[in-house]
Amino acid sequence: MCNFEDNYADLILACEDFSSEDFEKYHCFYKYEESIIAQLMAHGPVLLKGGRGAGKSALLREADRRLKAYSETACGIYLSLRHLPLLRSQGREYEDEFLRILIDKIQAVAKNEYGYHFTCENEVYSVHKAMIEFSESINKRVVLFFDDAAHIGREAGLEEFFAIFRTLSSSRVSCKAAIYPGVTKFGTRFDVYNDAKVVDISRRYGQVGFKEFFYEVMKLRYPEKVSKEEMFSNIDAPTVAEILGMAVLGNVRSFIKGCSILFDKTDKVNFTHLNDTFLELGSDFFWPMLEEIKSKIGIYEPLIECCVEIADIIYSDCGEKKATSFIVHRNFANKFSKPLEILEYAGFIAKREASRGMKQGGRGTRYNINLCNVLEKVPGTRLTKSLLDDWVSNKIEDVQFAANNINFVKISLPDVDVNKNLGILEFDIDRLRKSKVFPYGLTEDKITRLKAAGYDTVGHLAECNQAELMRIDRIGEIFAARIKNVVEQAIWM
Amino acid sequence: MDNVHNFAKLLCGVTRDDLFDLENVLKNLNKKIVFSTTKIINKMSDLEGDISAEIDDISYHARKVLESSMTALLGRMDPFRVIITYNVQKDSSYDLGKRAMAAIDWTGDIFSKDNVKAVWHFEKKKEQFDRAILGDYCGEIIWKPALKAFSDWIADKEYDSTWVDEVIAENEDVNFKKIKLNSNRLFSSLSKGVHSECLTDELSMIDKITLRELLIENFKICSILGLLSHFVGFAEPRLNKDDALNYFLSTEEMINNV
Repeated sequence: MCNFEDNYADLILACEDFSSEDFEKYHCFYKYEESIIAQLMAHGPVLLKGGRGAGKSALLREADRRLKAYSETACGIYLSLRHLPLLRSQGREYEDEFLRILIDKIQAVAKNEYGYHFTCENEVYSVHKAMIEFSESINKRVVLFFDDAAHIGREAGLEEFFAIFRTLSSSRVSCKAAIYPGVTKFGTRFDVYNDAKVVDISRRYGQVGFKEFFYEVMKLRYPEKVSKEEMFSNIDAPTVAEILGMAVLGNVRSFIKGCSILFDKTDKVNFTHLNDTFLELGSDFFWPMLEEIKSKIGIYEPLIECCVEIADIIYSDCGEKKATSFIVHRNFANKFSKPLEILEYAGFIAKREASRGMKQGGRGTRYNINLCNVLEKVPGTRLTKSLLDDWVSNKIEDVQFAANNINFVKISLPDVDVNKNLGILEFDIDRLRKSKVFPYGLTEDKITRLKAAGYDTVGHLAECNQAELMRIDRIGEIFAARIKNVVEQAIWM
Repeated sequence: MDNVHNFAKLLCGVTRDDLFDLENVLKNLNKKIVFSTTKIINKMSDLEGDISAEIDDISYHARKVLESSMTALLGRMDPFRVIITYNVQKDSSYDLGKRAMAAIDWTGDIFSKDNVKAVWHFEKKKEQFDRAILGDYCGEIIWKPALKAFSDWIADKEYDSTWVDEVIAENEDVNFKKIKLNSNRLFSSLSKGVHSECLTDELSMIDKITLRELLIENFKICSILGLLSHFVGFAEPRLNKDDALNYFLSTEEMINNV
């Protein structure tokens, strides 16, 4: 098991956990990412859409960092919305809490960077007006970066968020927000596409820079491993990075986890090790993640079994034919939109085309599939050079699930439980224990200390602040910050 | 500058003499698109430091590209309107100091004046079926079928293009909505850099990075519509689809390097 303290960078899976200095050191951006960052830095409202681990936070943070470091015409203000009270409130209560957090942040930036005393009432139009005055005073346009605005398990509060987003956007202030695939409820006052540009993070194998990007990430996170000549004497490092990146659908977090598994196994990478890495990622990371997500998706918790059923059907058919993509008829795509969005969020599938003609008639949505999961279903269950060549060449036809597909027809979609709260908040803090799915979790010692101090549930731990944690014996500033990070990751990641 | 000419061909096609007056219209629009695009690229490549003096000029040319592109598309899909305007402008009665009643209007010829409800209702009158090139009727008749045809055609092609990826990631309804909204927003944004209606410090809104993104968006929308137009069987003149795709990709590369 990796020791967090000794292997700092290779286990940090969320960019929020990096300090500003380390963020620059451990993140890289290529042509594809640069074009997204440019859109985030420019004036104009943007919704940045991507699944878990796609890199939304990293892109927002980098855009903010560059504005601070280089821009003479724009001021960036980055705000993470990982606040438990926001998750628990809606309506006026949400708005009040949101604006309070926002005003605090603006005041800090205004004072520290511009010596400006920002003040206004806790009311959205007051904030709007005060921001314009601030912008005029410093002679710069303002860019607000909202991270973790939406939580997959909770749609209440989104309507208020998007109403605020729209109200704050003006000729001098632009808002950017990170959302996940599946945010569909924008409220009545926000017209998506009209009120914001939607930018999808969609890295795919074959894009220019794909190989270079993942190779660079591998080098940044595992410099000692990558520099060892013997490690890549069978397959060169850039190719290994590309294969792994392709397998995990371009998801950075999963890629880093995959590298960790691979380098744990061997000092000389070959197809057998890659094969074992794929299988372990599938069995010990991706599939358990669905179980982990279950506790975070609130009213959609009953849909997880349906997600598993759909994933099984897709992987069985695709595995048998060694396909890397499938098309599902529009009727099923609409009927099972939420389970498909959950699977996309979890990195099981990645939507590529919204409307493609199908052989048996009608049109469907095309997705790429996670190759780590599908490998289990490939006859022989082995990653060979020949299989990899088939996957890379993209010559295998999509598997098509037509409108009359018997397996899909049989799936029943359970009702959502509108009274269900986020289960994770009620869980015992044992859930935060370090594990294969949760490698950044807490040690036994820390959990014992927290329980002895009276923190029994994840929700209770989330409510306390760092100062309160530091009162516990042998928990200093660093560990208190780490515990808060772990709790946030458990709830929001 | 082959790429600039390729972009113009994407919108105007390659003219023929059996197009009658339309040939001259498209040739003139081609020239305007080439001229303004070249200006933009040259100015952006020289842009450094204080850009306030250049914003107006670049915005003006970007808007010219947008308007000329839309007019070219209108001409190729529905030539009657542009040929009428062309002949009115050629007539000896044409007065440069007065607004021509037959002029191409952004609202009316490119965009519908009103949103359409009950698109094909039996009781609608002839005049309610507007022919604005980015109106809902052209959306139903031209652009959405073209988007579907394109999505199916591109499936077997190898390409490297984030612009194509963006288009195929959404269905035809969402794509058309985005095209409409973004075109209108662009027209408005590019006008702000030009018109005296902009009473605030335009530089703070349109700095270099924002200007670049506006230009990319501008050329992206024009290119996408240009590409799609070659999938419409009744649009003339039309390019071979593979040529159209190559011109599209070369435009994307050209603009991303600006």
